[in-house]
Amino acid sequence: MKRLAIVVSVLSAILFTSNSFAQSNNKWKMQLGYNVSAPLGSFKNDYISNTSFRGGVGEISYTVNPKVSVGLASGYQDYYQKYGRAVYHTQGNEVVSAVISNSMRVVPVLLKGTFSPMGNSSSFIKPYLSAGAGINLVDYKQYLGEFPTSDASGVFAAQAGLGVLVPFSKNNAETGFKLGGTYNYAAYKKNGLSNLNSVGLNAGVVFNLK
Amino acid sequence: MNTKLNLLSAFAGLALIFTGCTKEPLNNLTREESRIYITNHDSATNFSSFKTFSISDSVTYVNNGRSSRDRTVADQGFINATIAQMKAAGYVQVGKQTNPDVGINISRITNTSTGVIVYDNYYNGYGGYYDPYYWGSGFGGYNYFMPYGYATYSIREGALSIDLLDLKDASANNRIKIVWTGLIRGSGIFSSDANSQVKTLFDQSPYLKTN
Repeated sequence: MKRLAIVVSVLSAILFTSNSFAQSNNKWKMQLGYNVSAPLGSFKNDYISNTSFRGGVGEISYTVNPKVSVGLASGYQDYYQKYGRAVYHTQGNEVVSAVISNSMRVVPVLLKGTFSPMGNSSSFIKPYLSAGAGINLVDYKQYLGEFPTSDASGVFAAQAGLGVLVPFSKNNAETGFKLGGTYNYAAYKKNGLSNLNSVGLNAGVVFNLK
Repeated sequence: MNTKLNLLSAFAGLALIFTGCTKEPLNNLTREESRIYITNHDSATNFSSFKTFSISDSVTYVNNGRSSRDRTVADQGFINATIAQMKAAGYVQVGKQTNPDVGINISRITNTSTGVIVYDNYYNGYGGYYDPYYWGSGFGGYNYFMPYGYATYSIREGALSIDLLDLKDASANNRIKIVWTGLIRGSGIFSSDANSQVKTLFDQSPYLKTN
C-alpha cells in the first residue's frame, strides 16, 4: 500500500503540473484507478472467497460525442487465499495432507463503451453506464505446500459497470474523479472451476491525453 | 510532450502498482506449511493381519540416484518416531531374525545435480537401494514390488520416505511387496521435529492397526 500511495502521489504531481485538466477539446482520455474485487459463484465457492485489494484498472478512451465514448480497458487483479492444513484424497488410495494456497492473477483486455446521459453538462456529479467484452488473461497457480501446479490461459470476458464522474471543474466536465462498480463475467471452465466471475469497485482519475 | 509524458507516467504507475500489489504464496508459508505428507497403500493388504515389525537401524541415503547407509541424529529421530507410531498402532517390535511380519525401510532422498527427479525413479531403483538379504537369507533373490504408484510428484530439495514391506507373505509370492508408503516433502524436513511429521503420516492412515 505504501508503494501504491507513492505511485498515486507521483502521478498526481505529474498530472497536476501538466495541462491535463485544462479545458480542452481533446477527445482522447485516460483513466487510471485502484480496484477492489470480490469473487462470485464458482470462483468464490471452489477456489478463493477472499476479496482482493490488490488491483488496478486503466482505460484509454475516445469521446465519440459528449454522451458516448469507446475505449480499450485493461487492468490487473491478484487473488490469493491460503487454506489451513487438511487431508485430501487425490487418486486411488493416495492421501495428501497439505496447506493449500490458491492464487489467481487476472489481466482483462476489453473493448469498452461508456454512456454518460448528462453529457458535458456542468453538473457536480455525472453518472455513467458501461459495457465491455474481450479476454481475460488468467494465471492460475495452486500450491500444495510449496509445490505448485500452474496454468496460463485466455478466456472470453464481459463486463457491465456503472458509476459517477465528479468533474474537476465546470470548464472541463469530462475529466475528474471517477468512482464505479463492475460486474465481471469470465468463461473459465477448468481446474475445477465453472466461471471466474467477480464484482469490482474502483476509484480513479480521468484526464486528457494532451 | 505532455501527451508522451502523461502516457509514460501512467504506464509506469500502472506497472509499479501491478508489481507491488502481488501476493507471493511461497512468501506466506512457514516451513511447516511448506511440507506435504503423502501416503499410499496396497488395497489388497489387510494390515490387521500383521502383528510384528522390524525396522532397519539406519536409513538409506539416496542421493542423485545412488544409495548408501547413514544414520544422522535426524535419521535416528525418524527411526524412533516410526517405532513409536507402529507400537501405538498395536504392532510389536521384534528383531529381523525372528521373522517379523513387516519390515520397515526409511529413506532420505536428495537430489543436487539435476534439479528435479521424478519420485517414481526412486521406486524404480528400489531393488538397488535395498538388499533383500538384509531381511534374512530366505529373502535372497526376491524382487521388490510396489502395487501402486505416484502421479505427479518430483523431488527438488529433499524427501523422506517410510516404506512398509510385507515379509509375512514374501515367500508365498516370491517377492517382497511394498504395502504402505509415507512420503514427506518440503522445507526443513530434517531439521524439524520428526515425531509430529511421522504422526501426521500415521494419522491419515487409520487402517494401520492390528485390530
